[in-house]
Amino acid sequence: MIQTPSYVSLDLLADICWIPLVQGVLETGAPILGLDQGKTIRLALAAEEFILHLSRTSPGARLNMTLTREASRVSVLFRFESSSDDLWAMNLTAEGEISRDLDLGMDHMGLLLVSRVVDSFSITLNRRTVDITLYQNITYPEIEKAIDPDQSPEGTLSAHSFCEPAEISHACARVMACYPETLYPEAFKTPGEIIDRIAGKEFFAGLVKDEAGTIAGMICWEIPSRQTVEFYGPYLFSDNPKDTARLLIDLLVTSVARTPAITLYSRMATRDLPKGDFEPLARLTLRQFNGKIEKKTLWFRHLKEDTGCSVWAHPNLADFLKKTYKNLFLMRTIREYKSQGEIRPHRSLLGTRLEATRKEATLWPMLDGADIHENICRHIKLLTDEQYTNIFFTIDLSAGWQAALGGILIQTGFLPAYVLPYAGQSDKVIYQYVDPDA
Amino acid sequence: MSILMLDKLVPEHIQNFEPYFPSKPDTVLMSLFGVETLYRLNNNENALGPPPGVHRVIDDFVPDMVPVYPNGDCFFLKEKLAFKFNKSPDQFLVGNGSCEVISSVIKAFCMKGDNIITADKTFAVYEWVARFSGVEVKLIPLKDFRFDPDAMLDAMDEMTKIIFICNPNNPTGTYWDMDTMTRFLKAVDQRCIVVIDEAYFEYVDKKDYPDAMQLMETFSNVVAFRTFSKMYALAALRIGYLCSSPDVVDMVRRTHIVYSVNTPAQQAAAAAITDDTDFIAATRKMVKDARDLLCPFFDDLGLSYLSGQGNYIMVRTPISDTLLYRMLMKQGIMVRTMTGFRFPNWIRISLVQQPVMTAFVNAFQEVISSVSD
Ligand SMILES: Cc1ncc(COP(=O)(O)O)c(C=O)c1O
Repeated sequence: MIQTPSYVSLDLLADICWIPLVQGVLETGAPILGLDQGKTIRLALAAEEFILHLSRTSPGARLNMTLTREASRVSVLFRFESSSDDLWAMNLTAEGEISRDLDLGMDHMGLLLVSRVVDSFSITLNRRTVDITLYQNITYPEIEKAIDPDQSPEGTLSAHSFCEPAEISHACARVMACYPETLYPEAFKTPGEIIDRIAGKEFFAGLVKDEAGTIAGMICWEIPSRQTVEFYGPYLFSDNPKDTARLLIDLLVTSVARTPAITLYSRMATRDLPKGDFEPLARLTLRQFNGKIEKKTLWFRHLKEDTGCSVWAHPNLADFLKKTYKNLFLMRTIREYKSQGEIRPHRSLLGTRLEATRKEATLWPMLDGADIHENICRHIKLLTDEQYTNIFFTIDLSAGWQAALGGILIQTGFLPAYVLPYAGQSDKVIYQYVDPDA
Repeated sequence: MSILMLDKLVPEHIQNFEPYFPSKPDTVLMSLFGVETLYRLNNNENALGPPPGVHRVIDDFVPDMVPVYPNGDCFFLKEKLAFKFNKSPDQFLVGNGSCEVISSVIKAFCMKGDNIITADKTFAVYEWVARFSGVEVKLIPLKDFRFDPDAMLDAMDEMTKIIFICNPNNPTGTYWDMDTMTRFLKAVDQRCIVVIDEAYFEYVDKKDYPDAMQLMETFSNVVAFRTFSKMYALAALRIGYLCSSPDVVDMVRRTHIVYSVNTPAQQAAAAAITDDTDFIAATRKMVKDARDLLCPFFDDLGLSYLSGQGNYIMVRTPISDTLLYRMLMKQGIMVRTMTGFRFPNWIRISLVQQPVMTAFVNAFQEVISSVSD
């Protein structure tokens, strides 16, 4: 059995001479941590490409590589320090410029190749420390929907936050039978993954059962950032659910009430959400891979008293924010700011999170730079070429320089979609790309 | 230079702990919410202010006294407490608020692997301190809004070091009567420490309400907590204390920071408990009048509420408590949301003077009508 967390860690310098060592560690280590052979090879390939990339853009940089078994995936974290002049090279789109700068032609694919080879990949920046993490998901078997005859819950219902793996698996199969795919996470189809993530405390589930132990409903949640909790459901498995939804929501809220979270929200709430408990945050239009348009209401509630804060905003966002904050009764001091022609670093850096199956990409600014307009355009081109149909750009309104991007975002085809309170240091605004050709 | 890996240095229970972020100062809140007055109904403070003796102590505190350390052990105050409660001074330990003594007790009795038992829906600090000290917390669900003695006894094991009972409970206002408490203490049978937090002791006017200071004469594992923040209105000075058998206090003293209680707090506390009968009666009357106004009001609106002991009342709201909070703040009324106490969609309101209660009633009425439109 794999004990989580288990990891292997290596300190090295960014130099191609270490590539065989890195490959050796990954090729022997990842299978021990539960990754299959195909995925291991791809992971080793991505790591090789990354070291190559770093040895060209920051030769000799000190670097820590940590291979870890997380609940349902294996990750490789590369942590290193970079001078702000070199960070631009971590852009997903940097390969063109590097190839041009170094005259390497097509052989330098850098992070783009890395992102294509692994299941997902993320970049975060904490002052000058860069974390690049490559993820490969463990492969789990898919299950069938459980089309049970409708069974009304009998007697007193009770909510449970400790659930048997078999119950979770069955509940996932019931969700698949009772709800459309757009209303539950993809991983419900492979409940082994859900069970492992629950055991690893990355994902959480609550069930309501009747006196006979029949499962009447399920709710799930996870913690995407320190101050937010995202939930899925409530899922009810009978036409006569009694107060199952109420019990599920109360279980969810009381479970997260004493965590750091302030905002509880859902992009996959079902219509069984009890009235009055949540506030509508936005109505989103998403484009599925098959071209179908899907409309979704986002719901939220606070878990703590919101005593207000100040946010920065580009003047062209101020009206949107004022209207949103008024509707939500959120007290914010909006401070307008746009670039004042000050000297900026030469090159910017954007973070990227890709959800290949849902064709969803999220960008965010990590470093400002004079080239940010072109950089955003390059990312949009790359993502649309790769068939990403839902492209979001998030900015944290606690940072004036991020808010100042409001002008450029509109020029590059983004529109503000919604505000997610306290999703960053303060509120985040999520912009959505409107494809002029769609 | 190597890279700092904080996640490998910091213990997991600290990484996972949520630091408590206190509310902003009133002036900042007033400017954010655009209001000119702000009524504080969120912290169960005594709006009448401290007893008259305290005013004199505060007025007499002159800058010349500032350079001198306070008495490190609250010498005079402990003598006063001992006299008032017919105990010896070494049975008391005074802290910077009773929150400080919660921490001292947990440090004195618990180490990694031990556990404490309390309720899921009660004052949060017992749970917090245990968690950030790496001690397991067993949270027992309330039964009919009360601490559940049988379930707490069932949860006890050989690693249980302390049971915290909030009597009366904040926020439900329920309490264990003498009979329930003694049966419980007998069943615990000295296997662990039983803390009885009596923060709202002076508000309770019930014949069957047990007094932990008396119980400890029979059960030497009982530790009573009292505070000067509630009835005596000294919240800004931060002072509270525990009382127990001398042997227990001797152990807790070892983990307790000396000099943590400042001079004006010690003097004001001593003044507050001198001749407090009229003051307590006046405060209780204020609380009763406020209760008599709110209960029929909530009845008329058809809302469930819990009105028990203490200077507060809880009501179930038709919208989320956190949204209601924001809407009431816009009207200059600050209540306590109860989600953090694991009562989603309830608020707790401190019971204060009539004009303020009337302002609350009006604001609440307006907000509820606006959302039901
Ligand atoms: C039950 C209970 N115990 C203890 C305290 C803390 O009091 P102090 O101000 O003495 O730290 C409070 C304050 O709200 C309380 O409600």
